Amino acid sequence: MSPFASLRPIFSALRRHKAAVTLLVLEIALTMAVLGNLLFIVHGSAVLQRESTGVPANDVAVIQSMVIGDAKHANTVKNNLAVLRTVPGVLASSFGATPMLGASWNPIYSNASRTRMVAHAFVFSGAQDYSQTLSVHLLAGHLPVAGEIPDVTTATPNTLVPALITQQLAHRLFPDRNALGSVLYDGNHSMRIVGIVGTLRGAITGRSSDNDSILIEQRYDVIEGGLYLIRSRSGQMAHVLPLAMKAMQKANPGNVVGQTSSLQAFITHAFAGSRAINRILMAITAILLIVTALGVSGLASFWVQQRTRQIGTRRALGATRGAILRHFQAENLIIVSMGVALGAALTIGLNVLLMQHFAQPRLPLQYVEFGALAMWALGQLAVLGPALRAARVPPTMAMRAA
Amino acid sequence: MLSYALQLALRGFRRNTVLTALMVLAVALGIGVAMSMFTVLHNLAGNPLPQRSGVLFHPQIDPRPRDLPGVRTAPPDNLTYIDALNLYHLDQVSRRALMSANWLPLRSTVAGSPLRMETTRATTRGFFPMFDVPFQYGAPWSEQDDTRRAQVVVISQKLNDTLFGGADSVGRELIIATRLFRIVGVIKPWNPQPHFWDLDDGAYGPAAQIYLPFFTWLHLPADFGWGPMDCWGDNPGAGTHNPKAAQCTWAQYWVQLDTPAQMRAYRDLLLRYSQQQHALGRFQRAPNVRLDDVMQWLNYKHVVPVIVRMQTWIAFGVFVICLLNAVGLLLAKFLRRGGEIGVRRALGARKRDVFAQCVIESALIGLLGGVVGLPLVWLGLWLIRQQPVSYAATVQISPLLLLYALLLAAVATLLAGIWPAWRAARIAPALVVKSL
Repeated sequence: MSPFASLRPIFSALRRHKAAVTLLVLEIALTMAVLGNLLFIVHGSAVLQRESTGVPANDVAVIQSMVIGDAKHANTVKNNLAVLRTVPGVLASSFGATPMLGASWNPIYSNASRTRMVAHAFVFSGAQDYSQTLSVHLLAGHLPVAGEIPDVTTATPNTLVPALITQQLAHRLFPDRNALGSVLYDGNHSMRIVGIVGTLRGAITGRSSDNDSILIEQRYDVIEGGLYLIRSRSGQMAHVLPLAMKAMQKANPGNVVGQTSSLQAFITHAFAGSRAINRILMAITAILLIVTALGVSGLASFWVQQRTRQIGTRRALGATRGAILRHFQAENLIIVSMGVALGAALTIGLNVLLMQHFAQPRLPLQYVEFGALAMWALGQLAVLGPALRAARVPPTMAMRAA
Repeated sequence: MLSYALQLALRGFRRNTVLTALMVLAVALGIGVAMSMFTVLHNLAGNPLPQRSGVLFHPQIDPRPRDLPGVRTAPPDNLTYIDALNLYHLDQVSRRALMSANWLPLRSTVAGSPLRMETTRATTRGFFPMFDVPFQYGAPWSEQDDTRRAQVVVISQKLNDTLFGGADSVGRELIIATRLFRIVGVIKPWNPQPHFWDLDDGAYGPAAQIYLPFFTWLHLPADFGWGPMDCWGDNPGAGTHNPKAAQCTWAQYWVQLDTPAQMRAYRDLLLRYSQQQHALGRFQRAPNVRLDDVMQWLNYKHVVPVIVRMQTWIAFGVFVICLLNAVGLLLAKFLRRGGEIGVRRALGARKRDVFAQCVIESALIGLLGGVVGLPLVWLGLWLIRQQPVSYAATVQISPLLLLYALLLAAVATLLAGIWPAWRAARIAPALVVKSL
């Protein structure tokens, strides 16, 4: 018997239940559309949370210091950095912005009179040893050296400040020449590019502009509140950070410490809300799948019960239990496949709606493929119980009245 | 007739316990998902101060230069220092609140007590009556306190509990940013959401712990920032250490206008002020003003997070799938009873009796689904409240919404039952009875 011949009774059975089959197809298609789009949203947010900032976030920590008007203590940046350097386990220390904390989104000009704006970029401004502390990945040029960094108190908007630029921004601003040696301007600084770095993200939003960054170094000998940064040996931050805080507090009793954590802890905290929303969306997804499985299973049991006598007849005429089982499995496969065909279109349609109304990105086709596989698997799982029950119908059922 | 139909429905449930339970469960899960999400949306989009929202207005003016590439045409949300000062002094009749926020170090007067950073709202006297702030002890400071930069403070009940064990602390003193402040009031827990008066740091979140007179706060000795600054031109950081920078907006301003006439007069005042500043050469743009009440302002600022609106839509999508599911199962349930229906029809029942019977059965399943779904809504909201999202902690459900959930479940399932019921009513008695 050809495999197609065995499909004949399935199609004729399905034709007798057009209404129920249509409903099931529709339900599966809608489930697939919602499933694909929900997974896409959840996955996109999960990927974003793992995006690299360009800084070894586990080994860099911030100590936010607020200076209370109290000149008795030598609470200068220079002195505090000296204190932090003596803490065992601290490899480097500085003062300035970090990814997601304090980098300012500035207009960037190509001329000193600041009339030709060429880009917006995150300007990471920091004190001596800033680039070593953030441990940015240098691709070309050199990190700012002590001799070339100006003092922040005497610097004017026209003082040349050594700067590092991300490769992405350098390529955009200087497509056909080497960026090294060029000068860019923001409102307060004339930034001479001395090095090109890999990644340095000012924010994590998923936009490529996150990685349009410039890092500048100036010497700080003043009293100023802000973010003190330390870098520890790999994996040591958990015990280095408390020591560093204690040392800072001891040197400056008038200092108030605000936020203190490793950069990674800060990023994890910043994404806590996104993770929560992902959990909610996953819960909705699970409920959706349960409901659809219940529906498939319920209708399949109804059909099994309705056809008990016919199943008995087929068994009496020599059909094996396996044949009956496969009949219902194949029937489910056909219905789900129709649902998947419609569902593929609905998945993309729903994505277009979400793009229009909620600024979602375009959905890659893998989500359609995954949705289809998920629906087939769900259908087969849901039909297994009723199909096994059908297979257990004894041939003697053929003789019994309904 | 109705009681007979109900009796038959219950008998039907008992016969197909599993199928009925499946349907009830599907409806319950659908209602649980949809109503939890809707409740979140309803909470976030609701009116934070229903009794006052119609008379509180948010004036905006536009002090920006004419040529400013890539900016929106709408005026900035906040005021510059100089405009804040001008508007505050221009109209002294209406209640008005000038304000901003930051963190300030605070300690009790006991020697050696630890310093703590507390969220601060700096504002003027009008804030308390305008926003209906309830006092546990004491009262707001006076207008004179505002003018003469008095060192007085209103604290939250939470802070009062921590520092003074909940006792009446009016008259006691605190050291805030190295200065001595006298407590004049303690406010009861008060935190309308969204906190419409200042949306710069998001629209939801905890309330400030201390309230200081605006001008006292502005002249504190050290620099603790003056709230989020928005500066135009080539130096976004211009206001970081200088709140008086001419190109930086940061101060929030609200006025109370009780009648439409007052509102029109105030709008004219804003226009006149803009024209006058234009004539003086300070403003370059044609008068560009907005005067929104609370709900207009919240709509204009799109405070409800996009993800919450999207979640709600998706949740209702899931509910629709649940209903579709119910239609399929109801169809199966009714057609399975083809024999019984055929006999009833043969014994004289009309099509419409069969139809009504089936619809009532559907509605009953929906109602049961709703009853099972209510605890699920409650559970869903409880889970949402545990989440570390700024708006989650305050999400509450009202009895009215619970009633809506029940109604929605019953009505939606009733509608879902109409088509299967119609199919059942169409069963031809002769054919069915013959095949029995």
